Amino acid sequence: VASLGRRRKQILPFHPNGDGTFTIGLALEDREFLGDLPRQMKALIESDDEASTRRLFPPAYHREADGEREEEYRRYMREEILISKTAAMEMIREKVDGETLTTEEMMAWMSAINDIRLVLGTQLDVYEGFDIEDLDADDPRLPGMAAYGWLSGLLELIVARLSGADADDPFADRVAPGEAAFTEGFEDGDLDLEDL
Amino acid sequence: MLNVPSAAPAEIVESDTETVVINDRPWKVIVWNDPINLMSYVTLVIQQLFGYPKAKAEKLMLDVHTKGRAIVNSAPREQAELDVFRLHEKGLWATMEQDE
Repeated sequence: VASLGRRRKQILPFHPNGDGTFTIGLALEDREFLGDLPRQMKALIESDDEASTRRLFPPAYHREADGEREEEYRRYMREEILISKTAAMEMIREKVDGETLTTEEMMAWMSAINDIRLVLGTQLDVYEGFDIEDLDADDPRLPGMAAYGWLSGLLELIVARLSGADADDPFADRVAPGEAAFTEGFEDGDLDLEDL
Repeated sequence: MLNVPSAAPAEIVESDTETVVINDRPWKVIVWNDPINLMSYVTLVIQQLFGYPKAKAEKLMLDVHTKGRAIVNSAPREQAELDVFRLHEKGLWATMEQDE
C-alpha cells in the first residue's frame, strides 16, 4: 500500500464547509465506481442471495426460546429495514455526481457504504485483523478486497467528518479513497458484487 | 438461515414450571463483535442512537471489541426491540435477551 504522503497536501474528500454541508471531492472514477454499487446491491437483495446479504438482516432474538418473537420480528421488520437501507442506497445514486452533501445526506451515505462493506466482507469472509497485504498477488479475492479497503477508508473518513474530528492524520496508515491499492486492484475489470 | 451468535449462552428451559407468570423483567440490548464494522463507526452509531456521551459510547465499543459483546441498553420489550431495529438499520449486529 502506497504511503499517503503525496495525498496529504490535497484536500481530502468530504471536506466540511462549516455550514453543515460537506464537499464530496471524489475523483471521477471513484464516483463512477461508487455510483454503480447501489444497483448491484439492489440486484443482490432481490435475488435473495442469503449467503451475501444475511449480515444486513441479523436476528433480533438470539435465544431459541424466543423463536416465535424472532419470526414475528422478521415478518414485520425485515421489510422496514430493507426500505431504510434502500433509501440510504438511493441517496448515493442521487448525489454521487453532485458537489456537496448535507449532514443528513452524508449520514445516509455512511449507512449505505457500511451496508456495502457488510455484503463484501461477508462474501470475502473477512476476519478480525485482516490485512490486504496478506493476500498473494494472484489471489482472486484481490479486486474485492481492494474495493473493501477503499470503502473502509471512505467510511472512516465520513465517520471522522461526522464526529467533527480533524481528518488529516488518522488515515496516514490506511488505504484511503483514490489510493493505489484500489485502482491497481481494478486493472483487470470492474468489481461485480454478484460475481464474487 | 439465522445468524445466531455462537457465544450466546444456551437457554435453560425449566419444564417443571407450569405456572404462567407475567414476566416484566427488562430486556438487554446487546451489540456483538464482528470483523467488519469499524470501531469508529460502531462508536458513532451508539452515540447517535442512544444519545450517550462519546466516552461512554467508546467504552461500550471497546467492550464489544475485546469482550465480544456489550449491553448498550436495558428496557421493556417494545423499546428494546425498537433499539435493536435501529441498530440493524445501521448494520450493527444487535440482539436482545431478557434478564433471567
